[in-house]
Amino acid sequence: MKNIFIKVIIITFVFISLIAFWRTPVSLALMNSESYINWMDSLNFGGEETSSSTNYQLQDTAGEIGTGEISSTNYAGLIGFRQAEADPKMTFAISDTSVDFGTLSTSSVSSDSITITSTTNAVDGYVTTIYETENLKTGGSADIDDVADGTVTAGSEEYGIRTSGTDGQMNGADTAITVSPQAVASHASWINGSVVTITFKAAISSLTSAGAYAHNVTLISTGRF
Amino acid sequence: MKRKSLFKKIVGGTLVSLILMLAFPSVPAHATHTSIKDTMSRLKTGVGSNHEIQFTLDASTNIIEDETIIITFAASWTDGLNSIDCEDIDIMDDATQEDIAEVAVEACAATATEWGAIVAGDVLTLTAPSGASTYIDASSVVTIKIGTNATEEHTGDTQIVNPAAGNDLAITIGGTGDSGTDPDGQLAVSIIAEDQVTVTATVLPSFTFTISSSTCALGDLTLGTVQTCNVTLTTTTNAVSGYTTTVVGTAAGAEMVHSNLTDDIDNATGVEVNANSEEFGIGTSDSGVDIVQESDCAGADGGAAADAESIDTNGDNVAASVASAAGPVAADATIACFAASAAATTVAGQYTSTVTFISTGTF
Repeated sequence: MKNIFIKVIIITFVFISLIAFWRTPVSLALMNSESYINWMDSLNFGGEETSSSTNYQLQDTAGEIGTGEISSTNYAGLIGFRQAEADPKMTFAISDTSVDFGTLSTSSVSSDSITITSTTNAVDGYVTTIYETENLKTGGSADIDDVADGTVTAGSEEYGIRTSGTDGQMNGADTAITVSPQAVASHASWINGSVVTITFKAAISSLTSAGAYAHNVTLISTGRF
Repeated sequence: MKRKSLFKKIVGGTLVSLILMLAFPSVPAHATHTSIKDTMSRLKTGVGSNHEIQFTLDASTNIIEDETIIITFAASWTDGLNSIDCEDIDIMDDATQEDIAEVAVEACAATATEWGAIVAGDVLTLTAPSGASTYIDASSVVTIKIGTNATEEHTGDTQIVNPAAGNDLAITIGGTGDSGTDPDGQLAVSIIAEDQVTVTATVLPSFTFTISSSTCALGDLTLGTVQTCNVTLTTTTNAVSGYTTTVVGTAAGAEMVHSNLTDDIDNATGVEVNANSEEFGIGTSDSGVDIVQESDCAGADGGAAADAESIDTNGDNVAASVASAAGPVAADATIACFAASAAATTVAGQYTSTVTFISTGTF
């Protein structure tokens, strides 16, 4: 009995070894018949498509060996069932499309915040940019000056944004919004729910023209696949 | 002993299996471009957006004559892609512009020297020129601009309108040699209900005006000199168009009136109050206003003349401007200079004049 059991184990390992040999670059992809093509197959022993709870969703595959990204000067590969099967994913959300400072004061800095959230399976992550078409201004000629010294200060006419969050790109200074897109958030690999807070700040001096000020800023999130 | 030997075989076999699997990892069965992205100018549903699709050709792919780059937008984009044409498209190879056909000349079809750009459904097919050559080398960075961001030969005038809001909207990049179900690259974009944040703020109007004194004593008027006194008018405002301060007398033609209410000191007839001439007037330190500028009111006191004119410059009792600014000001001070002189026939006595200053902001 024991001998038979041992032989079965050995044959099993040999069989696995042969399968490993036979997985040439082409043979992996081409399971097909007249009615279908399966672009990827996988030798594994388990996995789920619908694992989830309140805080996560998981699609997993168990039993694969040597999965992940590989590359050199001349090639790049995404190894494994999950790497191969994934359609490109990109979601982007803005928490609030209205920022209202209310009445500005010469004695304090007014601020309001929004959050932006990006999720992507892009291999190089994503970047979110912000741009304006014109300054924060009245219907006439008056505008609130862009911050230039890194800090919006009470009593000075200044307007800008600062980010917070791991992927924020303006975490260190209050920064002017320009007509050229500038990165406000970025992540260098796939990410599920990258949240960055953008805090808008404004201050005025006694010489800031009275009036109702407004402008639109546009946020664009781009996956880097 | 036998059991130990068997155990070694099992472990050995396992290791061999693992090594073989690691040594021959699976690789994608198709060529894949890298660094693929589509930078759009707008993500809002229903609005036109420029696209800047960029990717790096894989190391084994040159694009030669007659070969294609095929960009397929997800079905949610409008068929025809809002009638973009070749004049709305740029193709760049490592930032070098490729020649592209024109509507009027080649009807956007490829020629021996120019790329073609044809839209059918949601598919944009870019075809390399037919002249034998390699048009884009392997590993090159390819940039395709679509929309008003295109500038080659013509500036684009049409953008692709974003489809209904949705996530994971795929754009695939294929071309010659691909099956269509096996594109060389894929990306996804997220179209959202609103991609703009409207920022609003209010700055309340402010205005302050002060007159340094409500009296101004000219003292004793004597022959040979012009007496002056002054008050300072100060305005602070954030009115976008600044302010104007005016002066007006009590009535048309009002002069400095004697306490007997009969006699008076005549208003200045020109823009100067001169000694030995019975004249009363006002000057201002400001320029560009109705009242004549008297830049050194204090220095004129006791002198032979001062730049000053009648408060009622036109004899109609319409207020005349003595100070102004074109924008917001902080503590903008103007000196209003009163000047008077007496002639030998001026009746002795006490004379007074009441004038009113009004400062008005233009918001």
